[in-house]
Amino acid sequence: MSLDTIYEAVLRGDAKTTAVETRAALDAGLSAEEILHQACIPAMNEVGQRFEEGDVFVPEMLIAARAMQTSLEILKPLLVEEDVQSLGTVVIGTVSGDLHDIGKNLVAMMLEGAGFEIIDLGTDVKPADFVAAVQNRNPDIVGMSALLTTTMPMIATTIEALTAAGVRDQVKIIIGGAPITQDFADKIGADGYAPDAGSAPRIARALLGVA
Amino acid sequence: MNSRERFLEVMSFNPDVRAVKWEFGYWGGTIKRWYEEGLPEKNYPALPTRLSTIHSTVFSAAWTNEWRKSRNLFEHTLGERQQKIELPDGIAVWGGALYWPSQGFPLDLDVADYFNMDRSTALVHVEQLLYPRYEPVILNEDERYLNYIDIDGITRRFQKEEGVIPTSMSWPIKDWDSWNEAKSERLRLDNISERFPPNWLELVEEYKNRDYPLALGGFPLGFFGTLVHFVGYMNLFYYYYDQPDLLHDILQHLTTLWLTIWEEVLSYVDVDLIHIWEDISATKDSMVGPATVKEFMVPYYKQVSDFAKGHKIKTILVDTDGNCERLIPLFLEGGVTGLYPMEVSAGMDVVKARKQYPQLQMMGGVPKSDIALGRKRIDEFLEDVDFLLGKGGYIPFGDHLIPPDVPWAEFKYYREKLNRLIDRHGII
Repeated sequence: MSLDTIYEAVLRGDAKTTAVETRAALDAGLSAEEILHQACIPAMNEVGQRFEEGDVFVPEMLIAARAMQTSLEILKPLLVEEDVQSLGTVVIGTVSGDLHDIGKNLVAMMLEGAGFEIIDLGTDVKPADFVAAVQNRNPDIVGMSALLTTTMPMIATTIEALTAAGVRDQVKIIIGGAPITQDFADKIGADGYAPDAGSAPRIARALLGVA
Repeated sequence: MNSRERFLEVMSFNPDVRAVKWEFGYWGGTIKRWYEEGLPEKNYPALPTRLSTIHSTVFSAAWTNEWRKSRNLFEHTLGERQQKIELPDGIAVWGGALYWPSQGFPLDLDVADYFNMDRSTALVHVEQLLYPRYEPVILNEDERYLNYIDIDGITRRFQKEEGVIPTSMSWPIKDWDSWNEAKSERLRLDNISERFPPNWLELVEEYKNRDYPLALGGFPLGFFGTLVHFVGYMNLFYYYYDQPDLLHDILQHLTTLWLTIWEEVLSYVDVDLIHIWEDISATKDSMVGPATVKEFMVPYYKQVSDFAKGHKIKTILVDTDGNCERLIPLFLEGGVTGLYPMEVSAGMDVVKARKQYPQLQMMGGVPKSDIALGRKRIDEFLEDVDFLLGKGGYIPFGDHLIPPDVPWAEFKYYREKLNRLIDRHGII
């Protein structure tokens, strides 16, 4: 059965088989939405769960995400035609002063794999740029990352900027990064804390109340 | 008892000898805050300014860019002038447990002096990786960023306002061709003697009479660490699956190179330990799993530990960062004798680790950010430190660089109490 084959191929990070089987599934009459929601996204959710549980690690997560991307590239134009909606839009970036992007990139991949639309602002993102992104792109979630103890205070500064601009209540804020803790997230008024990329989709879905 | 003797005895689990008094280090912003809050400033940390010598330093082109621009023609011609270069907030300042000049980070002397800490460890002064180095090149610069090629061939970006450690953007090794080029031009096995400084014989005499631990290795030598250094994190994670043969070729060549250099060093003078830099965990777990470590790291660690045994080097310490609990058995399988900084902040349970691995040498284990939480919390975590000191084989310090939100008063309380604890364990 094609959907199971696609699921297994994504899970083990086999990009070639994923692409071949995606085309085969479309040729067999399955819709892009079915392939996305019944094979690709469940596979990435499984990867995320295994990552949280410590059964897979960053390399395995990356090759699974890469495999899913090969399917998504084939499916994207068809998803637009079918008017398939994403689970939500996420604006994501590393805060001002911090140039590290590995954690942010991993989270973005996992969220995209879970069915979210990602607007990646990059690194060293000033508070004003996060505010502008919220005002202009109307996201559901803002994700912020900081890798250093010296840059993590900028997360709080950015939340203050969103509040001052009157857009704080429009979004849910998820934060993460090496020095970040749940206590810190609670203290500065973030809505969620993702200790790793694997947990990010689960936390995002919970904050938005989607399955 | 000097710092070297003490280190050797503590690492041998001698219960009569008190632990070494070191810290891992501090951020530049932390030191500057403490100077304002009461730390006497006698020897402001001196940033290395030489960019391309045998011990030239990664990141120095960024840290010293503004200073370099301010020098006049005379100074450029005649050499560096003595001047205090202000510490960037985001630079690391070594605290004694490590002193690796290859990262361009200065050594603290004032905190160590204030708390009467033990003399810092030192690395053997020999080029252990790329020789010759690349010449640093400034690519472009604006108000916010400095983009440059560093002495290791990596293109980096430095954010000037925050002054944090520059970020790597691209790497010189991308495939078999670029690796073979690096191997034949900068990692040769037939010019080992050229890697030693002109004053090597003078250094040997100093090393023979040393009162501090002397190490081989250090940044960026590691079996995960150097691969990250050569190809970048994301590329490495893909290469474990896409290019395993390339990685093995790199790892074997590096192991052979390092053992050849070390053999030459040891023909002149003995050393006290080998430091391996991995930074394989940033947070609550390792970035790569046990299967990857077993295939791509353990075989090379075994070669290093066999070499160490043959030369009576009893201590091989690995800098893992983060929580590396699941990898401890594999490191031990490879012949590693100790780990640091045992990041409690990332979830490492140092008491559990000691009970499970009674002969594992450990350094660190103090949750650095918790020092800012005040005396009650400091007293709590020092109870675990007290337990560990009683078991031996342990050097306590902050589980990475002390962050700038730790006030001087709290750090003073912590460090003075820790020093008293250390003094209570051991009669020498």
